[in-house]
Amino acid sequence: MSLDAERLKEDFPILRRTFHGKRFVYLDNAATTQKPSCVIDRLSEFYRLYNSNVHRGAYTLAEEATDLYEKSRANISAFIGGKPEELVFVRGATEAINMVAYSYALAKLEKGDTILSTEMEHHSNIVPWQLLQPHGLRLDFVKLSGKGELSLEDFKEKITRRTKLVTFTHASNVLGTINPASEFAKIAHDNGSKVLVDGAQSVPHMPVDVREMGADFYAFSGHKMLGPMGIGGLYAKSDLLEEMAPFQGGGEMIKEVGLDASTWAEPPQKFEAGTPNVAGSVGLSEAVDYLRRLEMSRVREHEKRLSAYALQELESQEGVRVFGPRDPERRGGVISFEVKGVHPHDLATILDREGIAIRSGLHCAQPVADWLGVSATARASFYLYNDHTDIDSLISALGMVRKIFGRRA
Amino acid sequence: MSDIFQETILHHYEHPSNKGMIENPDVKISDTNTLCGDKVTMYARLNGRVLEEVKFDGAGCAISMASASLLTEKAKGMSIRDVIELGQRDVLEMLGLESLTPMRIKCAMLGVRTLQKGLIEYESKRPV
Repeated sequence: MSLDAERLKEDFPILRRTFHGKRFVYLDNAATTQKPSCVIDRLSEFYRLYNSNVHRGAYTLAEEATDLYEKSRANISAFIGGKPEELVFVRGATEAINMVAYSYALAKLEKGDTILSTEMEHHSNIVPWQLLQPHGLRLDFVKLSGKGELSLEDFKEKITRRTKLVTFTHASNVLGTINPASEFAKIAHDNGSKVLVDGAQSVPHMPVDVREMGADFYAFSGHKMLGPMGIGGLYAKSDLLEEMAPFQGGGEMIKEVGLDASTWAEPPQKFEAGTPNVAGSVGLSEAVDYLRRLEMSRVREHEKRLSAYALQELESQEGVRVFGPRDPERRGGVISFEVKGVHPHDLATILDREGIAIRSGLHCAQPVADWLGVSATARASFYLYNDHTDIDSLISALGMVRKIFGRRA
Repeated sequence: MSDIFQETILHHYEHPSNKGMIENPDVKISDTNTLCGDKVTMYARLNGRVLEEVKFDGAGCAISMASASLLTEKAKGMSIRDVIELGQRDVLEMLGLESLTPMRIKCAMLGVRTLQKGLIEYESKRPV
C-alpha cells in the first residue's frame, strides 16, 4: 500500500501555514524536514514531566530521564541495524564526521596515510579531512562522472595501500544520486580500509542497515528525519569505538578523574562529554517510531514515484535543465535544476511569493557545482508529506518565473 | 508579485551597463558571495581622486548584477571618498527598492562593497 501524503500532511502543523496568501509547499527537505505533532508533543512532554540530568542522581526522576535517554539510543540504533552501544549521540552528521576525523583518523592513522573522499561530498565530508592535512594525513577524492555518479574506475585507481579510510555520501544532497554503498564498502574492505558513510540524506528516505552495508562508521542527522535539530548519531563498530581516542573532555565521558590523569568511561559515553541532548534523543526516537510505522520501504517507494513524476514534468518545461541521474532507482528525491536565463536565487525568490520553499545556491557542496560548471543551482527535495499537487504547484510557479524573466526573450 | 523584479532591475540584469573589463585599470578587484555563488569583478580608472571609468564583470542573480550595473553608472564621476561612503540606503535607492531581506541585501551590496575594498586598497598604496 502506498503512502497517503495528503493525510500525512495533517500530522505536520507547519504545513498548514500560508505564505504570501498561498498554500505552503515545502520542498527543501534535504536541508531540514518538518516535524510531526507527535515529535513536537514528545519534546514538550519531556520538559514538562521528565527533565533531569542523566547518568547521575539517585532520585526517581533522574532514573526516568536516564532510562528514556538510553531507550532512545537503543531504538534509534536498531532503526539503522546497529546495537545500542554502537551509537554515539552527536549534534548531527557534521559532528559525527568530525568525531571520526579527530578521534579515529588523527589519533590512529600515521603520517602519509590517505583518506579517500569523493567529489560528491557535502562540505562536512571534505573540510574535516582538510583540517588533518597539516598533521601529515593525505586526502584524495574519487571523481564524478556521467550524469553525476562516482566513477568506480577512478575509485579503484585512487585506492592504494596507504588508503586507511574511505568516506563517501550514501546519497547526494545535490545530484540525488544514491551510491552503491555495499559495493564501495566491499572494495574498501578488500583493500584493508575502513569505511565511513555519510547517511544524512539516506537514513530519512530509505531502509538502512549499517551491518548489511558493511559500514564501519555511519553518520546521520536527526533533523533531516522528522526529529529535532541538534541531535544525530554516529554509528561505529564496537572495536573501533574501543580504540578511538576521546573527542571532547569533560563530565559524563570519564570513569575516574585525578589531577594528573583520568580514565575514560566505556563507549559510547566516552564520546559524550557534557550534558547530552536528552530531549533531542527522545524526540528523535519518537520520529523513528513514526517512520517505522510508515515503513521505510514505503517511504522510499513514495519518493521514487514522486521523483519520477517531478523529473518528467521538469524536463518537459522549456528552458529547464535537470542535473543528476534520471533513473529513479538510482536516485533519491533531491532534484537540482536550472532555468535558462534565471539565476537560482531569483527563481527561489519568485517561488517564495507563490508559497513554495526551494533551496538555491551551492548546497554546501561547491565541488559538485564546479563539476557541473554552474555557479549555483535550484534544488527541490521531497519527503513523505509531499505529493503530486506540490509538484504541480512548482511547475505552475515556474510559469510565473518565465512570465517575469522571459518577457523580453 | 513583489516589486523586487521591477523594470529597472530586470533591465539592468538583461542589458547591463558597462559590463566588461578595463585595460590597465587603476583598480581591479574580485569578490564572491559564497552563500549563493554570485561573483563580481570591479574595474576603475581614476583621474586623481575621481573615478573616470567604472566597469564590472561577473555572474550572479538579478539583484547582484543589476546593482553592479547601476553602480558603474552612479560611481562614474564620483570621488573615491564619496564612493567609499555609499551605504545600504544608497544602494536600495539606486535599485528603486524600499527594502530587501537580509539574504538578498548581501547580493545587492556585493558590487559596491567590492569596489569600496578596491578603492581602499588603492588609497593605501598611493604615495601621500
